[in-house]
Amino acid sequence: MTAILGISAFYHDSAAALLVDGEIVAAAQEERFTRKKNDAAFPKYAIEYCLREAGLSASEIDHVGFYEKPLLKFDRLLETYLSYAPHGFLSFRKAMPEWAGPKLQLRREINKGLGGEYHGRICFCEHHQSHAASAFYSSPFQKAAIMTLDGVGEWATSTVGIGEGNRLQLTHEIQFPHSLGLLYSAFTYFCGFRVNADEYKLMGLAPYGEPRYVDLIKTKLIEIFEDGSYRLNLKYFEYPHGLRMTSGSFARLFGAKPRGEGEPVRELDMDLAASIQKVTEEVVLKAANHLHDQTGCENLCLAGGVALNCVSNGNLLRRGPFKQVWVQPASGDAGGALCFALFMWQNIMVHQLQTIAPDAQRGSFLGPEIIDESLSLQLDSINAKYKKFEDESRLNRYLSDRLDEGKLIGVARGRMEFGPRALGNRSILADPRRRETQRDLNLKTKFRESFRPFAPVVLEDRVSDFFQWDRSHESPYMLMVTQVKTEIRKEVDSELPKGLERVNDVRSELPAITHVDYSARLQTVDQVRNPFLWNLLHAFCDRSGCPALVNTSFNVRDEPIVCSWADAVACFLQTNLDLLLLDDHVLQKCDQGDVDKEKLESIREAPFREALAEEKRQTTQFVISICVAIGLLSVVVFYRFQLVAPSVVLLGLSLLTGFLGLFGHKNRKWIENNFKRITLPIRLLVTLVLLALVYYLVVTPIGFLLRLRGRDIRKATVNDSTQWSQTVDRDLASYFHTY
Amino acid sequence: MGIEDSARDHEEGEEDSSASTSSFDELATQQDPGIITEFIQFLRYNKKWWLTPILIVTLLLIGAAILLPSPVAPFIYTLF
Repeated sequence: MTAILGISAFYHDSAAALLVDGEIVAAAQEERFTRKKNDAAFPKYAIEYCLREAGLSASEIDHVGFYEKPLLKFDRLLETYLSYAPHGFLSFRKAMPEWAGPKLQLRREINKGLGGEYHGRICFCEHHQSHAASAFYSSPFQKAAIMTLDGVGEWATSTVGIGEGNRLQLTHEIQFPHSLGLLYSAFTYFCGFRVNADEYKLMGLAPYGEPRYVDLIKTKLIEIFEDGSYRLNLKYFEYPHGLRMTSGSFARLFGAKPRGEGEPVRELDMDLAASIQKVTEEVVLKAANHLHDQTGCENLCLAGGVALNCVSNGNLLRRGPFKQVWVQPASGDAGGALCFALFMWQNIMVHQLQTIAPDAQRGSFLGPEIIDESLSLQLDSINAKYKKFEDESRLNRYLSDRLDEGKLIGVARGRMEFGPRALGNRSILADPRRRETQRDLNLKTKFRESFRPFAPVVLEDRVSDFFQWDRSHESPYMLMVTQVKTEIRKEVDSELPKGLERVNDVRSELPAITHVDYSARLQTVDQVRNPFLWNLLHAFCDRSGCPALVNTSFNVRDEPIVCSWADAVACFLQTNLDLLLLDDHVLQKCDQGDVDKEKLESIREAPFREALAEEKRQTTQFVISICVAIGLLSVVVFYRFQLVAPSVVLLGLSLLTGFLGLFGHKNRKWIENNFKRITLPIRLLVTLVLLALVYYLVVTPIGFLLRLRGRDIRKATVNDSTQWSQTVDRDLASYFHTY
Repeated sequence: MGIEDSARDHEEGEEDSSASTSSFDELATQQDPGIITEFIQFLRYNKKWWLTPILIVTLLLIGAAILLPSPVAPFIYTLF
């Protein structure tokens, strides 16, 4: 048996994945356990879960790997500062303490995180190799062209290559600072959304606008070559060296400032969203055409953050040269954990590729499972009222009746999805035919912006009844956007209000899932990957004649998707959902008046008790250290400087701190927090002065000298007709290096 | 150069290099380098000697960061 643990962490959205003999046993994101959205901390709980699922201990893991090369990434960061210094100090000041912390000490952090039980070496592969592996090795293809498009990894921002059998080779790349992902993120920032988190909101906003800035963007911001490579005009961006994504020139170009937090969405934001969407689609399509010409492959595997742009994916499938396009559902950095494990098993350890039908991703249901075993007892313990269904067809009939009545149902059953999409096991389901469904879900249940559309989940064999979709394709991971069929569209009154209020227009027979441009983010359901949803859709279709439902993730705004049954109950109670399905237990909102919420919270906090105990231990240690430090200081003041009064005051302070610290954790925490608060100005000043000295006395002169010798990342170009450069060959030993 | 050609060249290159290096299993049993050794290896491999002063400063910062969670934290953590 060979067990490989893949880890991604310390950037955004950390995760762990476990492969045993080449089979994906478990994969989960840390945020689902800690309940902190996009948690970047070491994935302690995700690893614990993966090992539990496989019945292994950390000492039984054969190989552990990280999804990128930290020293190579640090190299990119330093080279950037060298090219921009003396500009860029604020970014340097922010970045350096982080890099001096866990980021450059990954081996130490990982070994510590595994409790010192793992004794092997840690492997590292490049960020885009990880992405490529996740797409190719999880796909149903024996041979495929591969394209990864991301913000940035180490140096590469976009890569292309080919996969065949168990071999995967990325051959060409575009290097930082030129990045399609960061260009999209720059617009995300300018339109008032969060970078690295809200790019999908910008995509959802695009159909409201007119792509009137496409030419301006292509003239001023990005030069697109015929082979799909591109070069950015860095004058308009600050992301390489600053804390903002765009520069003053960018704002002047569009005649406005970036939208501030809480300010209403402007017409400009809508038009910019539409324009950058068009530009992104053009780049992706050109790169895909070039890749197809070069490889002659019929299939394409796509990964990286930009691959989550399902509008662009749909466009690529419709207008692109490839017969099949497979997109890794965990395409972002969380998926890196899974990617690395797959890459290591197939490409480094050279095992035969086992193509699994329909694909190796297994519906992406790779996370913790909610099972019936003790569910009734646990629900009883919090006084929840429920109805248990032993017969699945009865349950499906019951649920479809309620859906047909317009009820909103939260579903938490089976194994949780890995990746950003809820695909039916941690979902909210609703009737797509009702015009009020979208409004109710957005404003009363998810508490989020109302302009974003919901996705339809539809039976695979009925998809072409409602959508312009070739049935030879599938979209099981909700990563393709298509158009609703003309036959089911409805005329919209031209007198209706413009702007975001258009969301309430009835545009088709399925208004809740039809976006303002008649598009829909499609999830097709088959019996193999998703038997529960397949059966439920059949039951709903029998009842209503409609083989589709609304499917949206089971969470509220800015919270991770629910993970455990207790998370699901807590989320159910704070929203306006009508019913909750927990495995085969159905809870009705109107029956839950007696739920013991304190007990529920205590159950949710149970996994963190160990961490809380550790935190208490550290606080105690901290307070003791303060007492000793102040005590020693008083001795020094007395003997060295002969100052009696200050010495007595310091001694008194030391004794007082110790005395207060004797009375419980709360007091000790108070001491720790206040000590940190008082010393914060010193801390900031010292850090600022030290790092400023380093930046202006070390980094800046070296940077000047290098630029005099013509070394500047801003001026690095491949040639006048392309920005693709060849990747560097690496030997086997390099997988054990952090560079 | 086409992508398939490049991939073939890469693979041939890898075969050559794998013949001259140890197998993965052998490499996996060796010791991981310490952070200082790895910094030196990185500078030698990439021939980026101009990064040396910055990496030395980084090592000092790492040293300070390692001490942060220890009992001597209150003495030094005001640095960060």
